[in-house]
Amino acid sequence: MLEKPKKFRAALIGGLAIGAISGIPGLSLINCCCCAGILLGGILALYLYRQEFTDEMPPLESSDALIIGIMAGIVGAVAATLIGTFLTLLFGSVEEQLVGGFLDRLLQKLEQRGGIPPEAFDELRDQLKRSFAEARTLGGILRGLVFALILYPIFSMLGALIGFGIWGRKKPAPIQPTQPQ
Amino acid sequence: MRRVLRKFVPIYLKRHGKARRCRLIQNAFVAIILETPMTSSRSLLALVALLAVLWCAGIVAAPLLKNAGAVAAADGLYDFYGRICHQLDSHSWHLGGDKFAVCVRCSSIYFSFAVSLLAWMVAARRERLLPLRPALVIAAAGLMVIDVALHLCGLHASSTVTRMLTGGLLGGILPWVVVPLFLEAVGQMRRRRPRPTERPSGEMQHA
Repeated sequence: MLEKPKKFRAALIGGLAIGAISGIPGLSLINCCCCAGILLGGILALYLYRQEFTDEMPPLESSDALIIGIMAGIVGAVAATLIGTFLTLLFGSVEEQLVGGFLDRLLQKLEQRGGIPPEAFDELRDQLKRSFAEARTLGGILRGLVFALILYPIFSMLGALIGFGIWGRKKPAPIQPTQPQ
Repeated sequence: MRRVLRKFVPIYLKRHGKARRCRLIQNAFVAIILETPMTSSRSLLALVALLAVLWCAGIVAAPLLKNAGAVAAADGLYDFYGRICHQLDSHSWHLGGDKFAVCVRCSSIYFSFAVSLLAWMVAARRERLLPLRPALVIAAAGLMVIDVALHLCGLHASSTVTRMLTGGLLGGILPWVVVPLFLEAVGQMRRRRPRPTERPSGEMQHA
């Protein structure tokens, strides 16, 4: 019987997805919805890992899901920090203006529809400004990395376990009927 | 890891002039920290439950600390939880005039997760529980997404009650789906871990 596929590739892709969602300003607001971006990254890593299995390999186990979720979370934490820092260093105030302008328009539309109160609009803008300011200091970057290294593996592991619950247990292969001689 | 610690803990202690106690401390360290197995899934589960309760305690502690004047500690907690929640004032419960560390929806998820986990632990003592269908998690998450989406579109006003119900439902279902899988996964990892092999003379050798 063949060995199970290596986990690193799937964990890396899942982690990069987490990093992209969490590191790109504006897009990272998805995580405000109960870490949805991180959960989805864990689910994605598990899904990709499952795709690498063939019939000759041992079945996917829940321990694989647990490990791959944690791996994706760690990769995601590092990737999010790197992407966020890189974007801030590269674009600086330009990025802040672009993302800020886009969010302003989006939030104004929501405010007009009555979906968001004006004070919440101001709070979100303040949060965005704070996150940009934090991304410019070494202390802020390191603090963000430490928090991410605690939080992301937990939520990514949850996502991977949910993914395992959805796709993990393969049904036994149907027995081929033998042809009568 | 054990081998490394066994090697370096005595060296460290000897260098610090505690050679006589070295063996005793090393043995105690190995016995207490390294050789203490999570003898059953129950002890592991108790640890998970403790962490869940601490997580919830942190949410409530933030406004309490702020009220008590420990602003730095409170800000640290707000900063930590702020990574996973928008913390909007209008969407949060308040305690003594200050908001919880996460919004109503997130608070409901975490509190109901902790309560449901404790309920699962009690139920699991009586019989072996199989995980619930993950479709239930998707359905509960779907309800929450619908509540958020309709609110953002201005078609339905999401209230504290709807946030609490949808969040609480998701948090309540999660342990019944995830915890059995988590315990199963840890059990598999333990079985895979190399066990101490027995020498012909009967002496135990750690792998």
